[in-house]
Amino acid sequence: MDKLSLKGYISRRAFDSGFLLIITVIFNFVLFRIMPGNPALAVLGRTGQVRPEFRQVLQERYGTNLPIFDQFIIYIQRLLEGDLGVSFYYYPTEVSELIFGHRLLNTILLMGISILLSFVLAIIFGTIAASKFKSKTDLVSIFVTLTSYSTPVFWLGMLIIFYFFGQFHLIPLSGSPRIEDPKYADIFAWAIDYGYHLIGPVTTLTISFVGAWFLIARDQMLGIFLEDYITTARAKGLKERRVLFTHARKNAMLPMISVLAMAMTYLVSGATLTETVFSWDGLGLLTFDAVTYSDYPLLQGLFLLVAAVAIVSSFIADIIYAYLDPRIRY
Amino acid sequence: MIMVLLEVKNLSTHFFLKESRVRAVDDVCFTIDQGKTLGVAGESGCGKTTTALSIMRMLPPAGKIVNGEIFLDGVDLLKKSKEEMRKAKWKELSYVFQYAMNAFNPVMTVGEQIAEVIIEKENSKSKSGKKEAWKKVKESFEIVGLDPDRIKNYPHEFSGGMKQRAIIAMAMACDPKLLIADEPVTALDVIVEKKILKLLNEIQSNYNLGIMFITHDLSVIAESCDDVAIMYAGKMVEVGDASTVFHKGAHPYTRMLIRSFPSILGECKRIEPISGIPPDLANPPPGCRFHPRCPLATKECRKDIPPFEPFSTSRHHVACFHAGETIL
Repeated sequence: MDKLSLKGYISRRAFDSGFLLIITVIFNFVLFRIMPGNPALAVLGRTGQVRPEFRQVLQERYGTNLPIFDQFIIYIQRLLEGDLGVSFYYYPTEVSELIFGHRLLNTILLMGISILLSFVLAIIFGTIAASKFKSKTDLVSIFVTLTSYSTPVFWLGMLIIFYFFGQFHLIPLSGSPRIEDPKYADIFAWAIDYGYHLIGPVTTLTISFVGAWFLIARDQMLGIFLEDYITTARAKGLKERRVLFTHARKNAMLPMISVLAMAMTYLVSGATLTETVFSWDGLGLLTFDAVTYSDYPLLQGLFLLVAAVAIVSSFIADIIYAYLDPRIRY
Repeated sequence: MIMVLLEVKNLSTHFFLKESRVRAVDDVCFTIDQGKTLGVAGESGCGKTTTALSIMRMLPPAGKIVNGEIFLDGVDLLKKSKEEMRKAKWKELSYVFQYAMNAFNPVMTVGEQIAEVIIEKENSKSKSGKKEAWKKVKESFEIVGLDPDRIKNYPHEFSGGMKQRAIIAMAMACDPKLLIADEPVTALDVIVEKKILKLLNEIQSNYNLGIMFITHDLSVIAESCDDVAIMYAGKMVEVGDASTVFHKGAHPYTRMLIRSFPSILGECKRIEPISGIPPDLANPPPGCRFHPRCPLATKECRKDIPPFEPFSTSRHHVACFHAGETIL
């Protein structure tokens, strides 16, 4: 009976997520139509003159001369074919080519490593601080993490560049090495240089993420320590390790799953500020450019990707929730 | 020959707060015989739970046992190392907590939580040992009257009464000699309460289990306990077998406590509350701690602490200078 209700729960969640995705796709279309001006004019206005081949491509691609409903049908049709359109700024490069190339890899690597590192550090430090509630360790770590949490990330990045590049020469200034670069003899040479360039931005992001997550993890653990079932587990004379890691952890993990699910959108949206400071050629920097140059098709593609990742990751989080907590069967 | 199972001698547990020292349990002595139930009664905050937690050595960080000995089957629990005590827990003595509803971890099955303690205490991490443990879980479910097919259920799938039965099953999982039950039926309605009390009595006679039964409900004690201990403000004021204490209670507090409970069968009369409030244990009154509320109090009571001495029989102890005197 339990298995069945779990299946029902997952399929309900899947249905919800699918519905949400459709709404997002529609919203993503509408959002740019109700913006002041229109994309074609924005491009044409910027260049100051009408380039006939450009207008032709625009009309072909978007059917800007067609009624809005027909435009929507075309948009959906193209989307189903995996066609996100052509970028205005990087014309005639396809949006999908711009997003799903080295930039996506750069961002996923940068954000993935930073998120994972911050998450693990936050849980470890949070658990330690909670188990030493109100001790010096606890108070010092709260002070440090609150400071790191409230430090503006671009300023932190600049400080790191100033000291670790400028003063101590420990890290490179900026940039993200590309594997196509002929200066790399083989993939390992590239990987080493890539890792070297990652240090600065990863450190910056980790410092800024860890602060908030540490506080959540600590708070969560503190609450769990006061629970009656922890007292029971201790009364049973179980090993302290089992009390902490079997009885407490599973409960304390629940809110952290939400935190992680929300962080998943960073994985593809990137960190615009950090990527800009370190000239890291990722999706954050691409978004920044797309906004600067009113590159609507590109923005539309980026938005859709971020929204899709948000929906999928919260769907996965819901399933993990159901697995971790048997009480959850909406 | 009745064997003494638990002997608590001159136990004092104090809480060390920032600016004060709360004498929550002060110089308490009592014994529990094998296969018998001692009911511990008293107002909220009189030190019942602190006494129990001292025996389990599970006091909160501010609480310290400053004096005393606790012999379980002749071994002083207070002399055990932390690790020895951890091993003794649940195998020698187990505990049923006040909060039946939250005693189980919500994300683990009930059976899992019983099996884990059997596996830990029997040291049977092997496959066959685990199988054996699960078999025992099933048996324990049968003993407490739960359907053994429900061992894989989660706590939220149980009703309150079922949870309390499961907790008793868990407490009995490793055949302890002593069970400390801290208000085990307070959260239950009277019908379930009666069933649980009956279950405890059955288990006790089948397993020769000593029970320390903590409650503030005298009727529960009258129904299910062999001996009674009355506590007041961290002190033991009267200990004896149930009928002696209920019918020939000698300490004025005991008698006033009994009078403050309504009787269903007795004549219809107004219940008499004990006026006043229990003293602040950070700053207890000198002499007998009950003297500010006691109608029999004299000069002596205000100055000297009354000794805890045998009264009518060798098993009946009272701490009062005026034990047995009539209250007007």
